[in-house]
Amino acid sequence: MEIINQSTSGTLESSDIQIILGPNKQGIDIDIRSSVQKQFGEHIDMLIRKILSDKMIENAKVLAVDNGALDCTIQARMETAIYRSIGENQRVDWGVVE
Amino acid sequence: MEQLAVVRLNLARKEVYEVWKAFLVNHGMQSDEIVTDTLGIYDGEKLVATGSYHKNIIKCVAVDKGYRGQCLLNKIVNEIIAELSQKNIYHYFVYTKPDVIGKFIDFGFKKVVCTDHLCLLERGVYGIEYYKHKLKMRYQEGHVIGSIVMNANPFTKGHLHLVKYAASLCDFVHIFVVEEEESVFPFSIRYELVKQGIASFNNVKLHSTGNYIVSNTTFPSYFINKKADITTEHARLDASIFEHYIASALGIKYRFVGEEPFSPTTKIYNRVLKEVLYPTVQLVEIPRLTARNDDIISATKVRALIEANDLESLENYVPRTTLKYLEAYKKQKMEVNQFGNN
Amino acid sequence: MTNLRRTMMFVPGNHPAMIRDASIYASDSIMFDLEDAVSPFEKDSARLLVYHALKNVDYGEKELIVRINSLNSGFGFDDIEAMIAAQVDVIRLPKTETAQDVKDVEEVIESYERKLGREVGSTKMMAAIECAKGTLNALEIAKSSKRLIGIALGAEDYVTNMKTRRYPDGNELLFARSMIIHAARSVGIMAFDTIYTDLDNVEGFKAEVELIHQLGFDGKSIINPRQIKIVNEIYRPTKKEISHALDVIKAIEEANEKKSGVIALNGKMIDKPIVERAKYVLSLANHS
Repeated sequence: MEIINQSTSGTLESSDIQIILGPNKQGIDIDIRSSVQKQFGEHIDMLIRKILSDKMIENAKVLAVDNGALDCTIQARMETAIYRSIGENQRVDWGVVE
Repeated sequence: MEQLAVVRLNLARKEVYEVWKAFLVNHGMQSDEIVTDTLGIYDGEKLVATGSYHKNIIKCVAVDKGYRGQCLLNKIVNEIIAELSQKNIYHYFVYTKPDVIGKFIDFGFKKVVCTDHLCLLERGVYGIEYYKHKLKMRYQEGHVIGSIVMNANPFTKGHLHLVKYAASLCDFVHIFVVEEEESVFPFSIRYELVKQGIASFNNVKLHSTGNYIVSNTTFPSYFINKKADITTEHARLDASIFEHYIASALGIKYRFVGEEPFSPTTKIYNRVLKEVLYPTVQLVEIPRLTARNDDIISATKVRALIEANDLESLENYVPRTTLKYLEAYKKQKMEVNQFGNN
Repeated sequence: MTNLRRTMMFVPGNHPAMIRDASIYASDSIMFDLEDAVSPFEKDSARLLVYHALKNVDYGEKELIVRINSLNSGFGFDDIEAMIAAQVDVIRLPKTETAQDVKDVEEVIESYERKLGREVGSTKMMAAIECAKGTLNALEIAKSSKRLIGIALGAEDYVTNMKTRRYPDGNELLFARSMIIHAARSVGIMAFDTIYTDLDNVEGFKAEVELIHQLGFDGKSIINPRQIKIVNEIYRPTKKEISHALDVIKAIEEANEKKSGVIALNGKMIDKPIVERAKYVLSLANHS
């Protein structure tokens, strides 16, 4: 999939993660700011890369501001941003969302 | 305890406005500021937190001291970000005092520049480092690299004169058109008219300023009391951005400006710009070009002539390219007036 | 999962902290809200958040309910598909006015159960009645689908529709509560009462729970974990009730051993409703 527009998802509240996602010329650039940076910064980075690669996204810019989100919250916020970024007519295929 | 909720403040209502204004003054801010949307949090009847925005700039953010540590700032900023996203704005700025930038850094904002009194922070995936990176790709070899920053609202013979002067002295000249939409003519038109006007030069290149050169209207005057100080801080901030991101990316050594004969504000602005940029970048002031009737050429004058429908006089002030556009613009406007009443 | 539904905790669907924390409180069921608690701009976001929470967070034995947006809101179809994909236990319909509303949603549920390879009929339903029309149709609504585990009163919209507001004594809800409990009982499904929003007024909350317990409601919708204990205490059976229930169960077991057709306790016949009542009392006792 191709990231076409910028989008954002999530909030700055505790246990949430806020994502800004946008197109990139080449590769995945991820910028993470986390209240638990030392322990989980790397984990969040890897998780975001995995979510993008599961969706066949090869080029993207990501800003993630984490306030201690669970993995499933990160997954949900990333997917929301992705679906908001790939154009108006894309619908979630609930048969294959993971 | 009931959760405090973020609500929209209707500043058109006098009693709401007065409370808001007093709140800001209490927190060391003037409130004669352009804001389009203002949010707040009340505890009962009492305003305890507020934040505003105008276009992509978050302003006038303050939380009552007694309510710190309750995440009210998060709530306000959160709601502003949500509203901006709904307007498809994903890159935004906030001006704050240097001692409180930590909170915003936690929200994922990044420092663009700081002066002694003011910090500009931004948030988005295409920040100033990205802008600098893009500029670097447009680097031009040369010993003497010059630059001009212009609003070009619209492009006049004065601008053209400045470009000619700089291009004759420099190996290469980078021209920046202010991207911010605070002018009569939209950015795309202003940019296009500059492009047409300088087409004959082979040692100039056109760029946009991104969001990084700020106009008077968006510069936050509310932190600063005296008018002159506002201009000084504004110039310091702009100069700092120009030096650290723009000049360094392109190896710019000179910046050319038109001498300011009228506006005391612009005079101060230019003086501070000169002081701060020196010695990295030298500011070169060029006397303004005059029209045949000895009238100094300025974009302000051009806009007045357009307003007065005086197309004949215009040719003394604008190059042929701009004139052609203005004629077409006038014709179109007349047609709209004639047929546009249905 | 128990057969108890004393407390159904409302959790806003776009609130990660509350969605996570809901797993640690002792409510009998959790109702994730995709409807009124979520702004129109965040419907997509909340749907994915609840979807992933249902698939990943361990909610133990709690019954998981999701309140969807109505079919004509533009969000309802996606809500249903996502929640069936996440294998939610119960889908709660908002603002039910007629039996047809339930049947319409049931048809959509069934189509997605087939599409996603779920057992047809495995997704249960609950209908919230939130206006005068729905209240007058309560019986038809209660009868409208085999999937219905119960019907619920949604008082906030109801009082607006009735041109009144909520009062401490709850008299404005008496007719709706009576209609709903009668409709539920006559069909043999459960009845759930509305939320109580004034968290600071503990006495007011207690009084309301006592009232709906007296009327025969199976449980109360709650918005804060602090309300759980209060409800459970009011629903806890007395020692006398428990010991009677134990006697009933014992009498049945003895009768079964003796293969005796007639069961009696202290000279009184024990019939099916008494047995069911005894089982319910013991279940309440075990979980309070």
